[in-house]
Amino acid sequence: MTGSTARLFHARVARDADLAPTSSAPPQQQQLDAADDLDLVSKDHEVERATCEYKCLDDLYLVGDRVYNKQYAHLYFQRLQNLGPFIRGKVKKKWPGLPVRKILEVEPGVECAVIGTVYKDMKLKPSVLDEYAKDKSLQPHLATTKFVSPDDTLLLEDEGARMALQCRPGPGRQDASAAAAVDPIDFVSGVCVAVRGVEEEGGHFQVTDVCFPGPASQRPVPAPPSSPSPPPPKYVALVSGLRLGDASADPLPLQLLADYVTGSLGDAETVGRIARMVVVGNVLGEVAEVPVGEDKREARESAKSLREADIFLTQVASSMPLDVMPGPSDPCNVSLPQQPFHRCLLPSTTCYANVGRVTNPHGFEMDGVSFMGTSGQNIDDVLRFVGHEDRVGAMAATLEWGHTAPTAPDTLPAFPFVDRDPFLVTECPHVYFVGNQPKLEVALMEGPEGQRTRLISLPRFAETQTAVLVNLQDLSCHPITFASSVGN
Amino acid sequence: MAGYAAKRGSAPGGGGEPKRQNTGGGGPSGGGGKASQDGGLEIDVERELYEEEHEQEMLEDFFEDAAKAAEAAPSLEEGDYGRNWCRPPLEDGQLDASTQPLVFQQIECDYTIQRANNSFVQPQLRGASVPVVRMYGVNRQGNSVCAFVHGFEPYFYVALPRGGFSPDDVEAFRQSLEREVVNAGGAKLAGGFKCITRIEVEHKKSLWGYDPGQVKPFLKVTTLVPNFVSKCRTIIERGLNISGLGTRAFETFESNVLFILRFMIDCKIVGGNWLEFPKGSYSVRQPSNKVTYSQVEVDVGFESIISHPAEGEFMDLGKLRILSVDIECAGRKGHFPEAEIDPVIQIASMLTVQGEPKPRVRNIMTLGTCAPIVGSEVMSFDRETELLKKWADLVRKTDPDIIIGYNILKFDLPYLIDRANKLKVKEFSYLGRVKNNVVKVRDTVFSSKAYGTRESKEITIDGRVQFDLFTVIQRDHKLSSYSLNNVSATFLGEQKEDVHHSCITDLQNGNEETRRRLAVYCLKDAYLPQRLLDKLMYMYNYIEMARVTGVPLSFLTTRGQSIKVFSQILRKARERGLLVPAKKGGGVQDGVAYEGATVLEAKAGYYTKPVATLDFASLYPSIMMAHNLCYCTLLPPYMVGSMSPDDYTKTPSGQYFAKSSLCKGILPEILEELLGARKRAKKELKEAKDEFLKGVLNGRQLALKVSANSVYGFTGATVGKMPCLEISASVTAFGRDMIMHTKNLVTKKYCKANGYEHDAEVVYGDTDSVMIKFGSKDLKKSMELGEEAAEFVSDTFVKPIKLEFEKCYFPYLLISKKRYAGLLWTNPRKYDKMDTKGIETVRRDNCALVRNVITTCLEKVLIEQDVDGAVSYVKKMISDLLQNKLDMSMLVVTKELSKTNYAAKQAHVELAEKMRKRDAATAPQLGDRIPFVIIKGMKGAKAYEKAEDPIYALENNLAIDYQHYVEHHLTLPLLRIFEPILKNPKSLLVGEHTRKVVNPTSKAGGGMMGFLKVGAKCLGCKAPIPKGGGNLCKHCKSQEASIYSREIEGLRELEADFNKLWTQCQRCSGSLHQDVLCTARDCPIFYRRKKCQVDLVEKQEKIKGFAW
Repeated sequence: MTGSTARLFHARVARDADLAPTSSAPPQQQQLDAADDLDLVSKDHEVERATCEYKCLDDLYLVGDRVYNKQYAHLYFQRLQNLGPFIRGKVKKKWPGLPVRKILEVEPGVECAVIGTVYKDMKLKPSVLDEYAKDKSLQPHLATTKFVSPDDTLLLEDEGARMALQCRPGPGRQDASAAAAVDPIDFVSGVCVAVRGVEEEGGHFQVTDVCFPGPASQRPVPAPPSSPSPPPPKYVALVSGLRLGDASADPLPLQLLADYVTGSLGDAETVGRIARMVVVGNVLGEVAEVPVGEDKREARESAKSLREADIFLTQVASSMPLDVMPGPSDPCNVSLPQQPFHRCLLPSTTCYANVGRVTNPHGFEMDGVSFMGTSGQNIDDVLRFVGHEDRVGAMAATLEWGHTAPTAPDTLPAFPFVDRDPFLVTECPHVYFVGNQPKLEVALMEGPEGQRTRLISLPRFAETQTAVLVNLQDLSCHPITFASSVGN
Repeated sequence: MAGYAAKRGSAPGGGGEPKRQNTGGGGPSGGGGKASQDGGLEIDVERELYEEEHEQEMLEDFFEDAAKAAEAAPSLEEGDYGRNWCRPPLEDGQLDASTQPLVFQQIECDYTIQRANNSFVQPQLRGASVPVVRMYGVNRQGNSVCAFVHGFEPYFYVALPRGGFSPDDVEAFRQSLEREVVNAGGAKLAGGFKCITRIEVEHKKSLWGYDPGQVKPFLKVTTLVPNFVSKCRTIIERGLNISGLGTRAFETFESNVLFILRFMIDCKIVGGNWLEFPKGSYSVRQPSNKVTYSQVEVDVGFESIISHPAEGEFMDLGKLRILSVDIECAGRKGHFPEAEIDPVIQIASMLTVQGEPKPRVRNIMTLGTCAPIVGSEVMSFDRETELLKKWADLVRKTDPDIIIGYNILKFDLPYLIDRANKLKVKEFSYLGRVKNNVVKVRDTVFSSKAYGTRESKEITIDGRVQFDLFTVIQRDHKLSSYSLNNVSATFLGEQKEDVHHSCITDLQNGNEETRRRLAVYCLKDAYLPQRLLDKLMYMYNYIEMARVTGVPLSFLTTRGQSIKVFSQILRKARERGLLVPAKKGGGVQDGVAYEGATVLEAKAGYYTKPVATLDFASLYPSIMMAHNLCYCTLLPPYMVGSMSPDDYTKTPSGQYFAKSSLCKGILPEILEELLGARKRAKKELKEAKDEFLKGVLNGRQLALKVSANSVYGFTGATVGKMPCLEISASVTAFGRDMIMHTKNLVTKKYCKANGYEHDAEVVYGDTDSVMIKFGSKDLKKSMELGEEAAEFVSDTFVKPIKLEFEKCYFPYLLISKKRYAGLLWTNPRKYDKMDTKGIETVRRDNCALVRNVITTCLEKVLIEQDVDGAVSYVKKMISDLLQNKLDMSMLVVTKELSKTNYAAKQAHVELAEKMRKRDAATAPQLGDRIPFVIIKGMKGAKAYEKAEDPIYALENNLAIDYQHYVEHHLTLPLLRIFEPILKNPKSLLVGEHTRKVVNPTSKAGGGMMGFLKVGAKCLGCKAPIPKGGGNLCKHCKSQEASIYSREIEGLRELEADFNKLWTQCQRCSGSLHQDVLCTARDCPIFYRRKKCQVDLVEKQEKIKGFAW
């Protein structure tokens, strides 16, 4: 944890550098190279598959009838309604004796805590109205991926009103610690917090400290059976950004991956311990972006990559249980939560009963170990509006905020829920993964109440040829890279 | 007020005892407010005066009580609110009239008729009711000042006939006039005093016509009250029976000058400047004698006033207090709020002190409870009468010098006043500075050549200037819509939330949270006018204009251009001892055919070589200066014969004017001063560093420019104060000649015969510019030639006429007279902008589609010089239009529903009727702008039957008549701009790209369509599918994945749009937790967000058809 993000968290985040070495001999940092392993190809295709008790927790994310005649206010309302009590509890502990007020009840000059939703006012934030700007040069550059500027300001809003937060110490107040307590650059819109401070002349609220909902409580990790000889560990394989059917990608790593999971390649015994594979979004490349239907050739192109994807996933499914999450570039809706792949897109894969067409975000349990993951949009979007580029830090932040996608719906498309906010983190998962990231990063977050969450930023397979195995016993992570040096 | 009184009482007295006691409080106070423009109206004033007096008696009781009550309870708003309402208290010792001068900036000026103050008037007027001028303003500290200026008497001049009028006849003249005035009802006003105070003989000259002779005797007639001036004028011009001379009519001079203007001119006071009363010359009124709510009230004689020109320390603006107001009313369903019935439910007030960045007071008064709003005072009332009372109290306490708002003159203020009358809240009407004076409202029709005719209300609030941003912006800017939303989008760059008035009642009837919602909205609407005022620097610009032209600030918004010129002429004439004749307005003078400016014939075409533009700098003013055109240099033809030809100029239109060697005209002099001052201001502007100073200077140079240009208009305005078509016709004639002359010179000189590379060609000439194609492809070369030609031609003109090279158009698209577009270059490196004139880029009765297509075409043709690109763009747009791919908001046309019974049936009127039948609550009201789209009607439907509410069309999936848009909206403008470019511009409108047409099926089809059932069709190939057969035919089943992908792709776009649009609306409305209520139809995304929702539902249906 470095720089500006570090001070935000109460939880300790340990990077993979200080990962505890695991007891068993896992396939750590396995490098499977096609050239070396050609002779390792196992003759015996029968793999003994470890089984796990699997529970899908996606009900929350499934939207049956998608009705779009509602506005977004309800979603924010639900968010604050649900996180409010949590925050209130935290405030009592953190700032004992400090009165908690609604914005409308804040009295000037009296210190208090206020709970509300943060709105970050940013002049660089893209707006649909930019399309109508007369002066074309005023349009923000489209290539920009960071929208922060030094004059971003924070507003806090509760059910009744909103007020401007003064984060830098006011004139005449040289309280250095207060200056360091809150910096708008660390915040994104949609986060629910409590702020501590005093209302000053002109309605500004001078903030001296903040309090987040904090990581939610966590169920204990199921204890390993206390038999004298512990059974060998089981694994869950996570892979993201396969971009199947992408003509520009090297097909070999994909084939190696398929061979590996089916036991044709590598250590069949280890492979057999993989209880399930989760494909974390962007199964297909960007084919869906091409205006289909306009051009018959393009349509065929898309159908072709779908077929390839189907074939690949069928291979995997034939060998082990599989969850397929949609990602931003897949032919599914864009609003979060993304709904599962339609049956017709992957006709043969879906014939297998052990294939889960799941939502994004996706939650599940393997032998009591809870997993939560997204295909990456939530973290990508948060990073556009904060000062740092720390992916794992942002993941830890979302747990701290008690919400996986605070920027939805402000800048991240989301379904206008009326009766709930599905992105709330009501229970801290044991494993939290985010797909389609630039590189593999692993960390362990330890919360103040003893929560321990494995954070995994999954790299795009098409670029890094890397998949990750998660050990269900000790939550250790083991990357496997399918580099092909044949062609080189 | 009482609080201040207490403070002041305790202040060390010094020479505090006023020397003179004023009797004003006792007399029949409450003057005629602003005197009006002509005699007819002045009678009005008089009547009002009497009514007022009468009313006064009834109300006096009330006010005595109120005054007592106020003293008993020193502050009405003890507690949290209202603590920052008042002006800063007076500083100690500031009131010592014997040792200190009083310096203040006056901002408003009126007069009242009251018992003469004996210390200031001539002995024979003691006890009479005479006009007393009241000047309101603020001093350096920001205290309000009201000065009662005594002793200034109304007067005018009468021309004496040649001979036959001896000094003895003067008294006879007076008596006869006196008699007539008394007969006309003057006795009542005079109250036993002479109506005609005195008549003196003065030696002057008339402004009209060149007169080489000596000064002549004129009678200066001084009257008791200003009303008598116009009365006398009527009598004298009609004919007066003078004993010994018989009935004779005389010409009057300066009898049409408003009393206030007369006073300002004679005291050399200009609008909004700083005044100084030297120490000892004035006396301060004791609190008990005060008749206004001003903090300082003084009496002064008019001779003592020192008027400071706006220079140095007197250039800036005082700490004027500006109150911005917005109200909300609870209308009934289906009706626009009416003051007779519907209550005022909220009033938002923002008080800003000029020069401060943020409002001092943000106050909202609500009927019914309202949850608190951060940073604003919320005052809730159970009864509307209390609300109105309190607001009136706020106005008096905050004591604004200027009241601003958006459409306050037509709506907010009259509504409040009418409402208060209806509820019999007597106290409400006392909003002005003067105690016991009620506000007056009356309907006026404002008519001006420059601004057109507008119905409006004139509201008199003594001592407070009203400045309606709506009126002002409508005057100064050409916009597609003047809704506050559009105006703030244009000038402040932000969309405004717009709550429909039918929604307001619901919010009011909700709970304290919904009322708070409304209050936030109302506060915002009160703040926007203030921000517009700041952004457009209106305070600087208008005060500057008032100073330059010498009229009070309030004249600038309520009167036309001519009063400004008239004021300057009067001032100049007075300096020269010239008298301005009171001409009868109206009617065209005979003998002078008045020809407008000529425009050289346009050689239409698309010029890809640079076209240089030579402009005459301030053409008309410089012609008037060069040829000494003025009222006082105008020569009657009979005089010309006896004069040397060197002494006069014959203008191209056949009039004669004396040369400046004989007599310098005053119009040229005024113009010289104006333009000279402008030059200085521009120079200072260049050197200025301070933002504030820059604002002042820029305001000044603009004011000067406008003023200079309006002088010509003044001489040509036949309904104006002093039309002189000899002058205006000469000016335009000179202008025409000069344009022709320039054209000839340029084509003669710049030709191959003289060794130039190409023959120059004059492609077009406007009123004051000539466009020349020198033939060179090189921009730099053309610019050099332009410079050279400008200088060459300038040398042939009389100074100060100057032809300037300003810019090149390259390329240049000339369509016809007054219609052209071009890329404007002032330096050869980078173009400045695209300049268009008379082309459908801004006109508001066009839909956005036309504006966008035309603008983009011009950009492509001119900036990218890509004609093919423009053509394919047009084809693409037409094709998209016909295939229903365009955003509906592009097709919305708006028209104002100004009256219901048009002779011919009109689309928007029919639509309004249709909408009223659907839902009376949300139907458009008279005065609303109605947006509509043209839908496909039944066969044979009339054009006016095909208009439809865009929202209704969206919700019911009505088919838009795309062909109509192509034929009636796009064709003409497109043909116009492509005519000079393409050989066959019609090819744009026919051909391959118009073949593919998509017609959405209407859900609510009329007639037979209502009985049809639409059968299921295959999503892939549109083949009919038997019932229950899914959504794909058997042939397409194999391609299910592709078809699904295609549909989902559409869904993705819609979802992303839905998100972008609705979150933007949340940002505008400034709340995450509350639903967006906005119905701003001017907003570009208003229809899009609705369409997006409708489309999403439809798409969702389609996708649901794929068995899961």
